Amino acid sequence: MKFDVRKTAPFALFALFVFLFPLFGGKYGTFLMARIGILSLYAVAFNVLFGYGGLLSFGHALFFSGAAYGLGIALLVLDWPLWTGLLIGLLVTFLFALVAGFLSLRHKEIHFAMVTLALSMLFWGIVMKWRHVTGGEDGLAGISRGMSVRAFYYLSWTVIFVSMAVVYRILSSDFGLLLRGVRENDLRVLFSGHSVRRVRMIAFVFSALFTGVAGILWTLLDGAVTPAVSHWSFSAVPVIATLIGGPQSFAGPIVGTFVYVLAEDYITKYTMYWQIFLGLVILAIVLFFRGGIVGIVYDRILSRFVSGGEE
Amino acid sequence: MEKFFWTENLTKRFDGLVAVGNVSLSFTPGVITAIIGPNGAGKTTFVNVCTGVLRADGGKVYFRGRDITNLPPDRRVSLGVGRTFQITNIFQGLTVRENVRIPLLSRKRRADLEEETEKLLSLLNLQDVSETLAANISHGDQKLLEMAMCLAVEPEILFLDEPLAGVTPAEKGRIIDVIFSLKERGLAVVLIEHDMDSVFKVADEIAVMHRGELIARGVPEEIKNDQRVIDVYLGGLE
Ligand SMILES: Nc1ncnc2c1ncn2[C@@H]1O[C@H](COP(=O)(O)OP(=O)(O)OP(=O)(O)O)[C@@H](O)[C@H]1O
Ligand SMILES: [Mg+2]
Repeated sequence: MKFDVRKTAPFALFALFVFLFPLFGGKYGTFLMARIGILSLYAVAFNVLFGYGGLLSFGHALFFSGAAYGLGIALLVLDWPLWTGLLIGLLVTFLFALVAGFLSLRHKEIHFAMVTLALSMLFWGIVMKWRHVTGGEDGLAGISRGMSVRAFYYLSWTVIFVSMAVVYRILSSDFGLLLRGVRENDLRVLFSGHSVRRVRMIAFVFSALFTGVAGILWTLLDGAVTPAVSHWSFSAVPVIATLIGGPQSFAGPIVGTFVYVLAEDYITKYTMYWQIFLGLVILAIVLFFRGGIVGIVYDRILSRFVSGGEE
Repeated sequence: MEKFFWTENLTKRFDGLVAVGNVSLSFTPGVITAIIGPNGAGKTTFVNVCTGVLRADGGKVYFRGRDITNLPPDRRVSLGVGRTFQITNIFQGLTVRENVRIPLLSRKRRADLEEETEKLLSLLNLQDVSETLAANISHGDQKLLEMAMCLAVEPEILFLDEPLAGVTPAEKGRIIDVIFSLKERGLAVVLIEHDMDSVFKVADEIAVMHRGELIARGVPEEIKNDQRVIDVYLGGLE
């Protein structure tokens, strides 16, 4: 990778901000900021399929909650140690991804979205009914993260940054190129001698696994698993965050998650109309700003300063 | 001569319509075979079945003695079957260089990717536009790019579906040069084309299709004087 100041400087500033934040953010702020990081990773992982692979999954809560329940059940029901729990969480997500990928990737577009949605609803149904293992609607409470919120903040942001760096590397590799090729024109990918199913499947598993990492961090931060993370509306979170920030860039889902979580936190303090506000924002973006916030910033501002590039 | 790529009674129907009916044709390395015929004759459908875009309703496709009738396209490609499309089929949103890199990645022998990319770009005269988005290069360059992408996977047989449609005279010359160079490298070239001047200039053999059927096959002189071909196709072109 070449060193590019325009790309590296904002990132370094952001990392510095994250590092210093607990010093002035307060306890609740630190907690919220950890949440934002975890949901950002969720959105980035989701966008591997959506922005790069052209596949809109409407069931990513399945992988998020699969890891969360895997961890929760291992720790609280089976009474296994933390490290085993982490592995079980990821293993559950991996298995879910294999099955869901096998079933959904034979379809495209709306059919793909529907299969992923259906599978996640199925899991939600199981979680609600299988009470003595999942805790039903109460979930599983009492998971110990074994450290202070602030310590966990640093641990989780480290995991988040490392995970994002790995995703970034994958997307800028030849595999990332293949994935964009599949998005652009899957027939030509076939006639380039590659199995489109295989490319999609690998991307699907990657996307699910990093979603699982987010699910694990979330569970440790909360100290509990609740069925809310397996509900279909939780699958909508990365979809909306990515649309707000813009799916065409790596940073889009991160920016979108910040806006989404902060707006929700702020607006729900003062009114009950968060959903109405959210609806209006989504409408405005889909109708007028397809590129999301990052798209607007790039088109209106940065492109003026960047001369001699493409076009 | 040992058969290289051939079809036996290949058939494809769309509802009631027989788009390709019982076509048996064979192609030979180092030989340019043109398939001609009026619009809707079934030429593209024949190529689609040969390359795995469509499933055959009857008959067989063989390559190097192996029955490939039911293999998916990517498997046929890795065996050495390549094609271009009537409507240029490239990655519009990727750069020319990225377009060429994708098929190169599927080569079994992972040679020096950068070097191979340069070689292909210069072979087809695309170095100057290598960093441009494929959507923004000329139509003729897009056709050449599609050929470069096909060559990247080192095919032994290449189906070209109307490579000369809608290109400028200068670009036409370049594309014909490339077709000749493919023949010299020993590829079997299957050329579908409506431009008869070019067909009679480059083809070693010509097959004529009409309403899904193969109605004639021979060297250009024979085809030119075949009464049935004149009646259904060539006569109408004068
Ligand atoms: N996917 C399809 N579904 C239904 N009918 C089709 C399909 N593809 C082709 N056909 C029909 O099959 C027949 C053969 O079409 P084909 O495209 O193979 O002809 P062609 O010889 O390539 O014609 P052209 O010279 O215009 O490209 C036509 O009648 C066409 O309308
Ligand atoms: Mg055609």
